[in-house]
Amino acid sequence: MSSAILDRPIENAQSLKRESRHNTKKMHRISLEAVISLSAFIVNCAFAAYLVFDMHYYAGDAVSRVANAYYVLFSRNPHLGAIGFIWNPLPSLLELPFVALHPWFPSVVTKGLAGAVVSAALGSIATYHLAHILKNISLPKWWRVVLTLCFSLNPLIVLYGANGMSDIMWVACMLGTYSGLFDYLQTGSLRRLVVAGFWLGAGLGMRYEAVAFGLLVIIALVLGQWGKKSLSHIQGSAILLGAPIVFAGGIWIYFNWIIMKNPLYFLTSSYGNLAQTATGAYMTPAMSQADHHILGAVLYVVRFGLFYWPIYPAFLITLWFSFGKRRDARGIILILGTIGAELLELFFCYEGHLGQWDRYFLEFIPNGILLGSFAVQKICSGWPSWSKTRVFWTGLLVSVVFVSGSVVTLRTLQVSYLGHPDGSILDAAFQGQNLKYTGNNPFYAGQPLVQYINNHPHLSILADTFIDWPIIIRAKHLNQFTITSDYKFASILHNPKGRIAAFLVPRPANVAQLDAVTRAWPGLWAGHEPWTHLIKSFPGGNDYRLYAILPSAP
Amino acid sequence: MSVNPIELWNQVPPVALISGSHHAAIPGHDIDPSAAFLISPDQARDMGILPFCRKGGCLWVAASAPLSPAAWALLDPLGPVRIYRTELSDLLMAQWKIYGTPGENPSRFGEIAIKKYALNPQLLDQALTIQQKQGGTIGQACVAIHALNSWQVATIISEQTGIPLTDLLEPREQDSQSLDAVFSLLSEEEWRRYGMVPVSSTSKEIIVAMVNPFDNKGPMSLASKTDRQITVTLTGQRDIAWQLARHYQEQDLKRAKSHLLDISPENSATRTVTRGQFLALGATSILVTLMLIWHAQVTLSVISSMVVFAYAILVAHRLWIIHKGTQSQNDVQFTAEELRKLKDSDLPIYTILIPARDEASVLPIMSHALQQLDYPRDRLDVKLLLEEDDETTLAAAHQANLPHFVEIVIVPVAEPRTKPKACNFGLQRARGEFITIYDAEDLPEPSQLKKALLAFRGADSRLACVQAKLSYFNANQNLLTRWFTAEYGAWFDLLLPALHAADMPIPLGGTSNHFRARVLKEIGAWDPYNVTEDADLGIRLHKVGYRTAVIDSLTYEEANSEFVNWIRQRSRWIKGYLQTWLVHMRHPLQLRRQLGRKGFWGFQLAILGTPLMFILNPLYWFITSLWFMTHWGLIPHLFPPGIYYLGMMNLLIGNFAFTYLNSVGAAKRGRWDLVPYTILTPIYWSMMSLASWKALIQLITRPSHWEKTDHGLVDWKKVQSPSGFLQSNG
Repeated sequence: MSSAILDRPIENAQSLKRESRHNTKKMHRISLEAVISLSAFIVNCAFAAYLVFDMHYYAGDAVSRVANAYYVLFSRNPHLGAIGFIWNPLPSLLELPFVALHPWFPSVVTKGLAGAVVSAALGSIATYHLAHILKNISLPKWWRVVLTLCFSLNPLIVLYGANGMSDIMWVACMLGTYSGLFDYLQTGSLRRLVVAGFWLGAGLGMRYEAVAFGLLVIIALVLGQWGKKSLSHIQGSAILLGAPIVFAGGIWIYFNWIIMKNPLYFLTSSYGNLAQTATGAYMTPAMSQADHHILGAVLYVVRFGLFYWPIYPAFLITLWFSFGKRRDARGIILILGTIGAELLELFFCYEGHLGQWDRYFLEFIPNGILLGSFAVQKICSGWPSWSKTRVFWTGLLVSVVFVSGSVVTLRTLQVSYLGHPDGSILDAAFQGQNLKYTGNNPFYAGQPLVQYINNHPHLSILADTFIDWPIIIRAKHLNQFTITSDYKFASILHNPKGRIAAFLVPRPANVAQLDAVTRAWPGLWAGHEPWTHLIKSFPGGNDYRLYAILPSAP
Repeated sequence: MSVNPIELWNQVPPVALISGSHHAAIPGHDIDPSAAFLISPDQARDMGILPFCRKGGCLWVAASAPLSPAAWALLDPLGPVRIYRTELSDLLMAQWKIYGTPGENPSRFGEIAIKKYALNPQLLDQALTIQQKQGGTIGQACVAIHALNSWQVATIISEQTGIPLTDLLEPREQDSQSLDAVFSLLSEEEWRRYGMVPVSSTSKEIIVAMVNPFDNKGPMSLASKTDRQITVTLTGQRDIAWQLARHYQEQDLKRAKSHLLDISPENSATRTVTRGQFLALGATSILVTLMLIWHAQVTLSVISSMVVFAYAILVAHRLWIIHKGTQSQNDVQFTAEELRKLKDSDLPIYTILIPARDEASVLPIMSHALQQLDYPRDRLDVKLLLEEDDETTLAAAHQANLPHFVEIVIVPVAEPRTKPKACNFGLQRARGEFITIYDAEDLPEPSQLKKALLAFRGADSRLACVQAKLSYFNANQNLLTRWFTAEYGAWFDLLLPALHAADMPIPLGGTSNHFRARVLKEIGAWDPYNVTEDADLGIRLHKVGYRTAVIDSLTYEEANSEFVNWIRQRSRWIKGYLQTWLVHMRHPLQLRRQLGRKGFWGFQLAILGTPLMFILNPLYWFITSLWFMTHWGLIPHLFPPGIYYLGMMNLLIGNFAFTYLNSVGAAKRGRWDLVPYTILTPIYWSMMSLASWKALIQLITRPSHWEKTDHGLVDWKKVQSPSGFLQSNG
């Protein structure tokens, strides 16, 4: 042992750092952004509880994503591939820890609570990012509070913060990207650029809209720094921002290739968006006007800007501050970011492959608030030298405009082709309606079928999770089913004899035409397969039928 | 009853300073002019005193009357003083003899220099300005600006004061035994600190030679150890160095080779694997073999799972580095204002060790870089450590007209032929309170020594080391140098600052690490048997409770630009990391106690994790390729369900994390132009893996063999001048 051993080890080398005292001080202060976002989390959770326990409303896609996580952990062959390769996987991945509690709290799956918790948390993070961006934009503190509340209390944002859908999760990623980029542009912080890159990469894990958004934001970053930084700096920063999303895309394609044997399975699968819209189930008169009509498509998309009407003037004002001597890189990012967030919808709209859901345009709300805030800051840039009275009255005017944006959101949702389906959901929520026995409850019509299956625990059934998930997750014994993600599903589907007792098949209408059993045996539901025998019909909803497999089956 | 001091004074019999006086002669012989000139002639005459010799630990001073308070104040800083009463006439005669006729101004230093050595008056003015700013003597200032050499200064002082000159480079007859006895009175470190060597010794007197005879600390320290009179003569700096080197060479070499082994054998890499480790390794091998016989598939599955899990932790560690390392305030930073506030006169001696072997071509770069350092020249103690048998570099160094503050230290030929041994050898000769190491081709930021000093002064004594950041000046030479620079960015701008911020042990970089000399010597300095002695030293410092800080100061080095040369260098580094890990893991529980939980795991991740990753990579790449090519049934069994995903994450996220780490590292260093090249980093790893396997094999076959890296391979046409460091090397 060396003679140089000291009496006791040093506990904290931070004493070497002169700024440590400031850091300590910072640690004990809870920021305003944190307080507002925590409040948003509580509001989202409370609303989620109201939707689920009081109204019995479940967003189908949200619970379906929870179901995917459920199959990963609890199906016959637990494996990550069971998460599915159509939807972006991150929401289900984030829900996994909550879904793991299913044996003790079945509601995390059967009522989709895992999804609600994740969307509430991401909604709260979105609020945090927005508040942080407003701080970067430099507006008076109480204006920032009002503007942040305009976002977090916007009815559509609260709904999506509570219903477990991926849309608010994507918005959180989008705002995280803006937040990091704005800080990087203002302070040169490499860390914030890296953070922006990671949020962008995570965005692709949530929604495919991230691809177009990312592309345009990277272009915006290049344009914003053009002439101010060296070419190598611009190039390097663009690579650092883009690398995570490129990598995330690469992984996704790789997994599609390795597991589904098709690198573009997520795009071309028979369960995918293209296949679903091809059934014509989602084609509305408004959308048919935009089908392969560029102006029609643009107008269709731009109309959804009414979700936050101040976005229209704010967009033009920001555009003014994006060119020439007035050029502000943040403005360019907001302009191209707003366009990028809707670009995929515009493309699908033009191609006639867009779903009719209003949630596709949820990004207009945060983008509207940010564009508006940016425009206000540019117009009122001299506010620090203003009198308190002037600040107050201007702030009041700004608040009225921004609050009116959220009020108009509600009105816009009442327009049938703009507010589908959330206008009616919010109406029901305000009126305290119980949706238990309506089509808004995906479990309602399937209850007799679930009961039947639970009463026959030894009946082994093959079912496609694409349509049948509400039945599967509410059945007592998951392993009574052979489901789509099981390794032998395809084999059993085509050669069921002796391997399965029954097929579950929905009526082949609308998107249910894509059910795997129907695609393999198109005449089955109608009773045209001689090697099957109808066990029981379950009218209502998807009009399920349960067919027994006879010994003559293939 | 009070005693009248005048009466008391008169009761003391006077002594005679000048022979022929009727009073008793003083116990010494002649008056020692070096003692007399400790005060100025004017002061001596005004106060009626004359210091005339050093003996018995005291400065002997003759006075014709009781000393005034002003006289006491003048003498106090010179050490313990013994006053001898002398007659006024005797005193005046003695003063006349030593100082010359009163009123007649003796020749001034500058006048003699101009007359004797044709010193340019402009240079003299420059030296005076430096003296005013930095303190010290005019002679030191002249040497600092290369106006005179230290021997010339000695001759001038000798002419001014009458202090005799001693040429130590000339062969001299001397009783080596009696001189050895004098040498033993002080330590080598003291002789060097005082710039003093014994010249001759009798029963009554010891004559020493010094460069600065006006520095009384050395002679007084020696005087306190003996009853003999200490007489000082003048000599040059190189004479002192040569004499000390001659005397201490054998002892220094022994210490350089075995000091750490003597004081702390458990930390020495003399043996790579201890008996206990060997037995543990053997037992593990037997256990694995038995398990393979019992159930090969399960055993392989368990081993694979453990490895995949460990790799996942390494990936997480890399992501943590990106997170932590990109924080802006991880390193210690100083403003230009703080640097300006440092007074040159307050700066301590700083030793710079520069080990060089077969590097004749880079000596001009070294010389240029040293000249650029913003540090008083008289406080720089640079040791150029050259191997005795490296005749080319030795010849080049002698002809290179190196700055005066550079001392060529010849390291005797002896095993192990390693850089740490050379550094240890040089360390024995270091005079500085602080020490740093540079490679011969290094271009440190000019203010780096001052920044390091501020870091030391701003922290408590537990801060033993300050690591500056390294980068490469020839990054754009080729693809390899670009990758290497990006990797260094990740290492020095992300990893080390992150470890510093997290209070984890820091594996030091090869150069630009600054130490408190005392601590460095205390813990046994570098391990000459460890081929990454720098990383090892960082761990040892942490083990005994000292800390390392990272400062925001840069040293540019030459990036290895040739593939084979790079493999040699990298394999040495990786071998050294494995060696360091084995040395410190001899007693894992003790290490855990010494480093603490966080430090222990930080050590595992940095020291074992880094080489392990590169050793494992080709194995897993091979298994993955084999699977795609053959779909061999055994492979899925190596990856049980959960582990399969973890392995997949390692492959995908791990590759991304390591690539992105280098991209961010390059950006953090400000080398945005290198970011696109980092995308090709996976190719760089395959080279790393090649070097890792070479290292692993060599760890078994030649554990202490030093794979020498060739320097001077720079294509200067492709070098961008970093911050003007290379103004004259283009």
